[in-house]
Amino acid sequence: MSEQMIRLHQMKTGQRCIVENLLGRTRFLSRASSMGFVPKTVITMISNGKRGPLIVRLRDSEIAIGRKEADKIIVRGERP
Amino acid sequence: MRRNDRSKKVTIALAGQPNTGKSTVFNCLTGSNQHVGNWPGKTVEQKSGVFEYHDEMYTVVDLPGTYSLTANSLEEKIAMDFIIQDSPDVVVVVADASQMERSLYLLTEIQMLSVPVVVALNMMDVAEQMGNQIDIGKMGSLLGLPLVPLTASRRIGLDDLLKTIERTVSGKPEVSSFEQRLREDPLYHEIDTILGDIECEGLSLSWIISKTMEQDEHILSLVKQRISASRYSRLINILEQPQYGRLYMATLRYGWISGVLRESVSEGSDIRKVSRGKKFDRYATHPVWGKVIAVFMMISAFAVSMMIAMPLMGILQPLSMSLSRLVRDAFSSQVPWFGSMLSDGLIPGVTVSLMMLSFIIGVYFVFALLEDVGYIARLAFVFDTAMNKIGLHGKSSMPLFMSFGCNIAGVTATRVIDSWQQRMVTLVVVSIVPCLALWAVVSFMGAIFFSAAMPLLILSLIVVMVAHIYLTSYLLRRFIVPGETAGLIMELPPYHRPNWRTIFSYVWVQMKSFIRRAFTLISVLSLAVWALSYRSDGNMELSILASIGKFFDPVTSFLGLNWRLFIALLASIIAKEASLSVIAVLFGLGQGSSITSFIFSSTAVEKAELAGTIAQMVSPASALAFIFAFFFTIPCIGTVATIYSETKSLKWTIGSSLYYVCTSLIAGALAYRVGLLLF
Repeated sequence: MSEQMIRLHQMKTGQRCIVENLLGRTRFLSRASSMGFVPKTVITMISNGKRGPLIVRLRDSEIAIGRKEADKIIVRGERP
Repeated sequence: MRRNDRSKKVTIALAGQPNTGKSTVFNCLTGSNQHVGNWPGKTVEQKSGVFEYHDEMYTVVDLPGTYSLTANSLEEKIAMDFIIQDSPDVVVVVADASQMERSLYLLTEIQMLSVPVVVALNMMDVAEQMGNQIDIGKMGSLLGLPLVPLTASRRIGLDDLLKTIERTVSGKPEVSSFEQRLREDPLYHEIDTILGDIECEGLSLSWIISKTMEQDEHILSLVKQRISASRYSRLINILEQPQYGRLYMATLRYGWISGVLRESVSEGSDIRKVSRGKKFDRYATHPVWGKVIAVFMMISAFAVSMMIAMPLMGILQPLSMSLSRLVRDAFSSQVPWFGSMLSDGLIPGVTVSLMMLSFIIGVYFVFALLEDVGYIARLAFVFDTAMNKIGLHGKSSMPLFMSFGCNIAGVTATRVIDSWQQRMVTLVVVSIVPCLALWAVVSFMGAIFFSAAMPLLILSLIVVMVAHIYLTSYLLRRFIVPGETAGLIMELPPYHRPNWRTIFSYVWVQMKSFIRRAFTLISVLSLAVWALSYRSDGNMELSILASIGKFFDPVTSFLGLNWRLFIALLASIIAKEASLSVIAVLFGLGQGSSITSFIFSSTAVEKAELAGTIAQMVSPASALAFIFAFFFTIPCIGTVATIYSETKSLKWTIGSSLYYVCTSLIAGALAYRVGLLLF
């Protein structure tokens, strides 16, 4: 399967991806990693509408994440 | 207050991520022996409680629920400081058996603090429903820590937890398996060599090294002060090597957790994992339906609170009125002022407090319920974008909406916000929102002067309100409670069946705390207002309050308010509705010896007659000034008392009140100037 690097908010509802890296400042990184976002984490996109925050599933939990924050998460996923 | 508790023998700190059922565990341990206060010097609530087990007294301190332990937020700092500085005899870390991968993350941090740790694996029933098989014995030995399976909601496993706590307290902390694993790590080893035997505010070496690996800013600055410049630059060089990076430590933590779980847990089939409420959740998080459901929830919340309060209010009001009359008559011939003090000051004050209490019980109940079933996070989710625009968090939507009903409910509702900074900002701004009682006065005054232009008036009030909220929120975040937020990353916890025991215990404990603070404050304020407005001859024009009004007349007439309107404005502090009665008396149409007595008689005003008189005596510009000043004035006595009871801080209570006095006068003055141009 062909894969490519995209940002988390570019994922479509129902798609799965793997976290490649996180950008941003230490404060964001420590918050994101305590919620389960670290490299190699498998994420399923639960809901991604046109606007507003996203809902993803990772490590048995559902997490809501803002678009701005999702832009700092680089993932490797199926080509849309 | 914690100091007193320390004289008892054993201190347990209860730690855990949010939504792990930590408060249920706390309730199970302490029953009703709980105390609600603030963390020393902070406006963050601290819950502690005591219990006895095998003739030994235990004190349980409930740490703020946090996802990790860094110095990022006040809650995290409080939790960390307590473990380090107060060195509890044991830390019980509550984890969620149905979400172990994430909820064990906090454990990997607490283990580093060299305190005895017990892991309580809560919500075992949910894990079983999902079909997960957990080998407790194996998992415990892999963690290298005492592990207790628990279903706190049904009180299963409590005795085991108590036994384990008892055993752990008398023992010594062991090096956990995660710490052993970490010591084999090349980066850990290199940092260990550079740091040597560094001393840092009583922190354990493994904590310092692990936080250095995380490149935690606070720890790095501490380390920098304690080692030579060359050693520090060597340290930074190593940290910046590409194979490590800032997420290296977090990856190690999750790697270790996954390793433990892989060997001790066999997961159920995916189909059975579908948890309850999935279908509802699709609507609850929908951009349109989600908002509809949220608004419906908030209106119901308000309605339920009112339903609980109404019968009690119905009994209290006539009861205290007759009591008032009885007391007045009893003293009227001998010491009339004393009778008046009781009947016009104290009795109305206590009545207001009791009516508030009955209302607030409903509010506490509804929040505890919505929080317990896991709905609040969805509400925050659907309103996040809108709230962000005024600098607030999604969870602020609940207090703001509730405020339209009653500001007391709004202030109380801020307790759903878990970030301290956001909570304080919201707590202050909710008072800008006009409550139902306020509209009654505004529409009465507005109808007299601006009948045709009423929609325009209301629109302009709302525009100023939004601007006011925006500005106040900005000022607070800029100057009073600064701090950057990490943006929206929020757990949407799975729905749970409500645990009534937890909910009722919560309501009970909060109620006790409310009575202690709010009752005192309201009684004192009512007596003060009574003293200022009392005249033995019943002529309010000659009371101290009126003299104050007349004294400030030069100032207030600049705002377009003559002293009568100014006093009416002040009277709104007692209750928004009281203003109308005061206006009636001051414009010569009513009777009464003090402001407080109007709480009972506000409905008796002859409105049509009053309207005619006011229209003759007040200019439209003044009326406009009054409406604006009134709209944005200091919240009523009940709200002030609730702010005190919620923050437990006089500084915040007085500060926010003064702020609203100022903004109200400014709004009035501006409206007056605009009014002069218009009319």
